[in-house]
Amino acid sequence: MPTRASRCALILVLCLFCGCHLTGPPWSPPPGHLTLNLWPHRAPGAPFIALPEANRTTPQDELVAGKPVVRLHHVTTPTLTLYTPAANNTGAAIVVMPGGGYQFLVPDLEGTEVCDWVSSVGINCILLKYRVPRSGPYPTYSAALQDAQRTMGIVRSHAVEWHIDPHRVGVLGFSAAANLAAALGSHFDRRLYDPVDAADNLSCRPDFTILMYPGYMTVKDQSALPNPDALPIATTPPTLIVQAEDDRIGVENSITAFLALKRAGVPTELHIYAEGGHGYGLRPTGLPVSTWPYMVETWLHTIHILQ
Amino acid sequence: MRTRSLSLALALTASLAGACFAQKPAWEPAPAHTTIKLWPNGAPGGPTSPGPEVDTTSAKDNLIAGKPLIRLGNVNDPTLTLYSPKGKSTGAAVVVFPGGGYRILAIDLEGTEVCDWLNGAGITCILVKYRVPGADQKNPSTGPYPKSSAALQDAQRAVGIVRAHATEWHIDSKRIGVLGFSAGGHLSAALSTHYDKRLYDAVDAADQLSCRPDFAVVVYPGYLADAEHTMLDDLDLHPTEKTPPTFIVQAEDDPVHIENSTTWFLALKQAKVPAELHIYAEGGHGYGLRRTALPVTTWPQAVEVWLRTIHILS
Repeated sequence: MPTRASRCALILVLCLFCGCHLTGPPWSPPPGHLTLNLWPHRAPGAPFIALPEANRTTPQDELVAGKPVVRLHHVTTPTLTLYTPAANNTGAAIVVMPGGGYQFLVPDLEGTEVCDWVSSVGINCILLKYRVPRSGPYPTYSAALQDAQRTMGIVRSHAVEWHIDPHRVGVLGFSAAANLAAALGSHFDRRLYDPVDAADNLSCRPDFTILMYPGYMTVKDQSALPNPDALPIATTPPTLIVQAEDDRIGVENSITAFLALKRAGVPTELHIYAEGGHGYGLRPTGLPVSTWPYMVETWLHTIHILQ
Repeated sequence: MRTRSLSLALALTASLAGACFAQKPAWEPAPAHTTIKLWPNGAPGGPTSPGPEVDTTSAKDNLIAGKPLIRLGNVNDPTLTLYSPKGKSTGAAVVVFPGGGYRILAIDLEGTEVCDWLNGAGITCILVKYRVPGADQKNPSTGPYPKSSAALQDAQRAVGIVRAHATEWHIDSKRIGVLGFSAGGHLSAALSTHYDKRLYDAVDAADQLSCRPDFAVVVYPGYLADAEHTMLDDLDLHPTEKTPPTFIVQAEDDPVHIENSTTWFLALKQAKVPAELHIYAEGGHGYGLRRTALPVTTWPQAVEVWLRTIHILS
């Protein structure tokens, strides 16, 4: 039975060893929402890292719309958190996947704040805390895509209980997680893990996909060639893509992904704004790109997810 | 015999009716708008069609948002028409090029109706009736630049004339943009890349002024890129860093393939031109700005927002 002091010493040693900075308490979903562990026993594959979850944002880190963001590292126990609309439930649902380069997650800017908006417009929101680091892109690593597949099945298995229409469950991913969303849109035929329960017998195909300032969508250094590991197929769901021309990770990600979707015959919409940069979430910055949630709502009507 | 005289009589009646009809122009701007002939001594290069101007729309042509549109052909004598805002003016101006495949001009749907919107937003509108041969004409002296120079000559000349009248028309000569549809979208892109040298001998002082647009709006463009050849080297037009900021809008299901927009956007981006691109899932081609239930028909609002992004409007 280690003493508290010895546990602290152990963490300190680990941190010194890893060169990490524990700057805040680990992030947890806000209270009042149902949170489920995706894997009741243990996530498939060996855990890459045994450190505790930690928010590594420092006061030196860049602010977004004047406010800090959480950068959650070392996620080994993935979860989903349910946001039910307070009123006017449309029956539609969106699984939200924060970005962070498959190294960490931004679960507030690209997670809880997104679910606040999604649930405010009558759509159920499921915030996915998937594993990082080195969990993607698929197929270099499979952990994030396993988590995404598992989540879709769990949501559909709870459809009646959660008042969700299982035929109107979409996915929205930011940056690296847009790649994750696109990968899910072309790899839903076969689970990348041994089934855990009945949820894994349900389809994990999203009914629609939203790619926010996507990364990893082209072949490295060949921006005109789509990433063959997230290549759309004829049954890839209708897709909406939003990016800014001045995005430092390259607006070619969006153009190339759009053309690949178009050639696969997938109904797709693409909005590229002149200004915006990267990683703005949906905090209002005064730039027109920050009105993208209205574009999403309009498009959900176009594709008949909303009436 | 009797049948023959009947058909002769019919033909005679038709030609008489045509002659009478020809006395009234096939299209003219609403009264009280200044209209200027672009070329006081005739357009360079001679006539592009036998004339006179005709509206080639027939009763069986498709409607847009439930209404017909004019398809003006046989345009030999290009003009510009000034639409000034009735209320408060922002000082900005937009030179509008209707589309029509460099054959005809959709001069109401993609012309006068556009000027009505711009005027309502406090923007001066200049509608350009550029040279086109007519729906059935195959005339090698018209078409997209560089195949033909006629339309681009008209566009260059029009922007110089607008700048020459800037004071008189209460326009800020540094906030004069272009907006074109389909073939006119191509013409906007052509002018955005060919403004350094006039493609004709100077007519008057207007040709000493810059014909570079300060911004360009390209609506469901054609002729910019093949669907199969989307490498930037395949393009006829090559933007530079001096190409003006550009806004592009098109629908994914446009039969005049979407690669026109995506390829032009990438060419602009590579040239470091601030550009915005909106591709809607549904819309087809040739919808102008008649509002329907389709979200793509809200594009004028997106243009107004963008004009603030690039500081043309404040």
